[in-house]
Amino acid sequence: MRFERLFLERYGAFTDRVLELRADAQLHVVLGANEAGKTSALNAIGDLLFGFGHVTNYDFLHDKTTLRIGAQLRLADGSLISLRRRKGAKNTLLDANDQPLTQDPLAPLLGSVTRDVFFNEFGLTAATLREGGRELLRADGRLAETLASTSAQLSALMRVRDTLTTQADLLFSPKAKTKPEFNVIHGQYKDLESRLREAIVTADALAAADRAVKEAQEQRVALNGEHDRIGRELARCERSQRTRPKLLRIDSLREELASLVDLPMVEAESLAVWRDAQDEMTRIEADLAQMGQEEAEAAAEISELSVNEPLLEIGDRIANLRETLGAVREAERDLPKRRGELFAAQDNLTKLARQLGVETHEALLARQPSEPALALVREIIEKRRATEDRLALARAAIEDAGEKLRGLEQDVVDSGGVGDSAPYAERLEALSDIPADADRLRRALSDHEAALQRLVEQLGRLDPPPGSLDGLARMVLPTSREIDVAKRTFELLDEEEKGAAAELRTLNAEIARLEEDIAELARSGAFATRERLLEARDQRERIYLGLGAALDADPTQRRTIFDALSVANRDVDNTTDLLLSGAERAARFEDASGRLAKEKRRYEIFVAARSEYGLRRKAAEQRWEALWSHSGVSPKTPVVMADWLVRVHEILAKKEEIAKTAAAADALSRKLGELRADLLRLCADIGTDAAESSPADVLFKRARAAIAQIQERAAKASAGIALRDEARRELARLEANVGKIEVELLRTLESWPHAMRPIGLTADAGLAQAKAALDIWQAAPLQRSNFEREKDRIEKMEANISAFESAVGTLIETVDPDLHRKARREALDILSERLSDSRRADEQRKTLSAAAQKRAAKREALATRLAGVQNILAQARAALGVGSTAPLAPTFDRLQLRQEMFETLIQAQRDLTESADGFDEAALRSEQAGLDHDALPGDIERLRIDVKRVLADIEIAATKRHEAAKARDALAAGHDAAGAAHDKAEAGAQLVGVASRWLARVAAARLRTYAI
Amino acid sequence: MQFTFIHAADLHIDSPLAGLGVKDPAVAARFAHAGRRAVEALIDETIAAKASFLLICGDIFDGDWRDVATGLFFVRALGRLERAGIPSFIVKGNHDAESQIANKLPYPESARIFSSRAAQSHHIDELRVSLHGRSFASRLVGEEFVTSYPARREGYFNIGLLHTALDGTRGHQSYAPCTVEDLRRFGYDYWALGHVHAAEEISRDPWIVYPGNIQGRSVRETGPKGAMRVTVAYGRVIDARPVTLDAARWADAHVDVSGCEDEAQTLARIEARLESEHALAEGRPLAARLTLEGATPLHARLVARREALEADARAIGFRFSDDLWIEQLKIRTHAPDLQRKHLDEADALDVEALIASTAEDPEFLRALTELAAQISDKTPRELRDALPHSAEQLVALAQEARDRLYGEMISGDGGA
Repeated sequence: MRFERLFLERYGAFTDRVLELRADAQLHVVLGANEAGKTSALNAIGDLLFGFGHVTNYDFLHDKTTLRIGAQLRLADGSLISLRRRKGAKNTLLDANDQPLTQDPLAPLLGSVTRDVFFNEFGLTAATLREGGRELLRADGRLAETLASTSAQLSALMRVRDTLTTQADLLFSPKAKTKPEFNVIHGQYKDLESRLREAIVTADALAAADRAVKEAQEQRVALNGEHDRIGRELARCERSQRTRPKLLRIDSLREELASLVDLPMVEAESLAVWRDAQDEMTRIEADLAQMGQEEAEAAAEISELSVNEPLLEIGDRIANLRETLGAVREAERDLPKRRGELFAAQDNLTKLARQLGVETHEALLARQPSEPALALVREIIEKRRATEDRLALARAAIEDAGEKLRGLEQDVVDSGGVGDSAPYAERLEALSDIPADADRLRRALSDHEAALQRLVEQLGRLDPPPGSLDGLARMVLPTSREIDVAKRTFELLDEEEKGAAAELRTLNAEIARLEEDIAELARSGAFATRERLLEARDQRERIYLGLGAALDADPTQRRTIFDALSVANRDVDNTTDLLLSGAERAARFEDASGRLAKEKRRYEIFVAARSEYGLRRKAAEQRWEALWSHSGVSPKTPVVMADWLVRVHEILAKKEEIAKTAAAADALSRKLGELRADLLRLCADIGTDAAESSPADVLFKRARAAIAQIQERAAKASAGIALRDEARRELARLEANVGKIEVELLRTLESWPHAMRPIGLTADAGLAQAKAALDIWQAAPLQRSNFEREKDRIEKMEANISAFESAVGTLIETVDPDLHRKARREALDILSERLSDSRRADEQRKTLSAAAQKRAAKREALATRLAGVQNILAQARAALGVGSTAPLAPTFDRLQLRQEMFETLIQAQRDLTESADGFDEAALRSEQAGLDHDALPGDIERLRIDVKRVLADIEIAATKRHEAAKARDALAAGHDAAGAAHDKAEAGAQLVGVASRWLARVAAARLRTYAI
Repeated sequence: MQFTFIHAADLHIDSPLAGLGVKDPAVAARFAHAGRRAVEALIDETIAAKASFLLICGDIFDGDWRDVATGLFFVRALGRLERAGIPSFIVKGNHDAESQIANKLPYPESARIFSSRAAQSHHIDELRVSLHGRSFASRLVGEEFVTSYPARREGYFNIGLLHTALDGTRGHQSYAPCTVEDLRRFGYDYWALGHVHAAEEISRDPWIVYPGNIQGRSVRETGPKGAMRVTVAYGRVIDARPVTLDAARWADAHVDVSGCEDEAQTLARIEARLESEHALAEGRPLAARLTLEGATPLHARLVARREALEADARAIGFRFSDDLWIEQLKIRTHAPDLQRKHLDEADALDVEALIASTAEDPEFLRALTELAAQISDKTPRELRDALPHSAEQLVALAQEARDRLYGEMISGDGGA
């Protein structure tokens, strides 16, 4: 940004003054006499950029409310802006029409530059320069010393400022290209503010929503009314259209009924009775004729039937014999087989009797023992057999046990002479560390060698070389803290020298450029400077003073002085002329000269500083050398030596660790030696060969193997003794068991004779003999039962056959003796056939008789009914005035027609009522009076369209009402305004946090600037 | 005859909690709706305690809160009580008088809102209870407000519902001013007060009780929040105890870091303090403000690294619970006197002394004023009060700048 015009409209002594500043100029020098307004112009720029202060010194001519400053500014992007500033609290930036600017165009241009910064850095006035000089004087000769002593802290301050400024710019900066955090959160805050506004459901909004629901409801009610009205009209038209044909039909029916008025009024029920009576009379007459024919046919059929009454009387006996015949035939077929089985049973019994030594089977059955006696025999046989088996097994077991005992006693004798291994095992246990210790010792020695080798290699890589490992341990080395101090010293020196060299390069370039500018100005022609003018004026003043002093002197001297005064006056005038004519060049020359002198002074300061840095570096290097002098090492740079020292400490630490490891290995070796001596003594005691030179762990293994062998032998001997004792105990137990069984057997044998007696055996009968007898006696009852059962069955079968034959003979004798010539079975069959025929004829005759009885009863009933019907028809004739011979049917038909028409009329009226929406006939005729029925279809179509339209409107209204209600409910439920408020509060807190952080940093940065 | 009632006040439904700076939306949501959850807890407690009635003594809503959905939420909550057969008695407070949403709400029939035109009495004959109260008609009411309450109804247990700051000595503006002695003269058995957000049992003869608000909203409202559960038997209070209802908890934890040699020790003390605060919160979301105090040589470093320490403290908080959030870490430590003496003795150009003296320079303070104004201008108006603007605050900012600058310089890591 650069100023092209400065408008001093009403400011200090200025009124509508414009200061033009050339756009292509590199430098503007504003030259003016005292009180010309140079400082005022500078302050005007400040007030324009940063606003008027609460109190101003520039309202002595114009009222402070009318103060105005303006400017035309060219921005970096080439655009041009104009603005004006008034004094006030707000809206102080104005446009050309004195209207407040809505946005501050200066804010992004100025960034964090404040009024103070502006005046401190760009607004140097004579007063501020003088104050600065006085500050330097107050610092006296200690300034350089002070600067040097605080240079480190000042460097830190420099770095801090960059850090703080960077952090602050990330938080907030009006001119930042990237979006600082403050702006981001500010945007979020504004968004959340909008969201909160939108989320809040106000009472008015809710009331409006209620109104919308109500209006939608009212609209729907109105539409419903309209729908009802149109619906009623449509119903009327449709009803008219629907009922019109029905009314016409009713009219027609009424006309037809009028043609039947000559008939007397007869109840429909009476007519139905009459018609039924006539129909019934016709049916009765037909039935009577039919019955006469059936009676004739039945009489003929009965006369043809033949029934054997005597045979029917004995029909049951014939049937029984027929039924018995099957059983007889079955018995006749089974009889031979049964007889064979009877003979077989008898043979079995006879055979059994012979086995038991009895004469016949009858004698056998007489001697058969009872079932309890047989059970006792079974029990004692089983008991004796089991006891004898157990006794045999027990005796065999005694034999086995005796054999086993003898074998064990022999083994025990063979394995004698084994010693106790426990003391040896205990001594070996005390030496159990030997294998692990020996292994550990081997590994420790191996590791020690390897570590030592690595350490020596590591030592060899150190630069500078520190000598031997032992020498390194004794070496007096600086501490790491001392090295760090030296390191920082050298780093600081490097940094300062680097800074000074850069500054000197910059100053050299600047001095060269300024000298070039001055030379260029000198080459462009003569000009004067203010210093030159001051010198000329001083010269003229001095000559004036000399002239004053010489006024009383001789004229020649006065003339001389006067001439000199003339020369001085011309010189002043010429200088003034030159100054006025070449003001710009003079100003540039003065500025360049001033800046050149300033830069040269700065150059000298930095040159001196560089020399000082050299001295300080030398002193530091001497201190560095001295620091290492006791160690005998030629040090390299502190950075290298810091690393060197770290590695040396690592080596020493490792060396110490290796020494500790070696000491531990030595102790372990000594311990192993002691244990080995004990081990050799143990080997000698257990008789194991052990070479003196064998390693301890080898000796240990041998001793352990020998003791294991001793232990194994001892275990075996001990197990043999235990088995022998167990075998002896087992033999004694078995012998005791045999004794018990023998006693048990003796008791069984004592009961043996008593048990054998029922089955016919003596006391000396053996077990097998008793078992055989028992089996025979157990089989006897079954054989006996078979024999008796078969015998009974055969006798019964023979009796049945005999009885059947006798009964058939008696029957033939009774019914038809002629049948004696035929076999009895054949005769029975013939009789059975005859009986069946007689029975069928008898049944037919009974059926025909029953039918005749029924017909007689029916005829009687029909006759009674016929009389009743004829009576009814006589009444009908009388009522209708029809003669006794004239047919009744035509009259009945007319009456029937009238009846049906009347019912049709009633049905039509009912149908009319049902389709008339509750209207009666009269109302319908009244409603349709004067109605143009031809126009009805058109009216109906139109009304239907109207109904459809209203229904669509109702649907829309219902949707509208539903949506209004939904919107209202949603509104009532809220839009989480509380959440939005919370989010906004969060964003506000973040914004305040960012602002506070920015303030803290920018305040610290500004404090640093002020402190510097 | 024995019965129980619940006495609550200052619900301030949907009043936003002070900003926490929580980044996790789930944790933020738990804090955001804590107020409503506390109201739900009040209704749950009333039903669970089989209370005969509920008293709410004013400030149901925030005065400037315009979201009518908040009012409908409250109505729904009272509806739950009505369905449970529990009536509620409500006096409106100063906030409700200002509220645009409090007036036209469709309260259920069982909710009795005391009139603002005159003091009213409701009687529950089956319990022999008489309730007297009056709602605020405007934000401020005078002494005549309390004197308008009716005399005691003999033979009944008399309860006065009153939204008042009493004599104003509790840091509140004088709303319905009165003294404890004034209240005693009415002869009521229980004065159910509202307005003061800190629970306090003013008196037991008669009972004069502030239950406090039911949900803390900022670090100024710390500790358990809730209502009073009062049991009466034969006309006498036999038990009155606070019930905790808040759904989120605030804590203002001061940590003395005197003697701390390094940051590790400082963090250890912070952890110990947070552990006890976490235990007190009983599983609720907890927003804690940490203030480091005491004399420590770390002072300048702590100031410079305040934000890094804050992040460390939040990490410690998360070790205890996902819901333990450090709202802010404040440094209120100071350097030991020894250091200051050292500064005074410096005869060279001591940078620390230079910084200290510059920080007190009026010119620097003016610069700070401009900087504060610069950021304040960009800050939304309603937040500006939170930024330094008074002379004292600017002096404090200068001191912080001093400590931060020195802290940054000696720590050399650029702070955080």
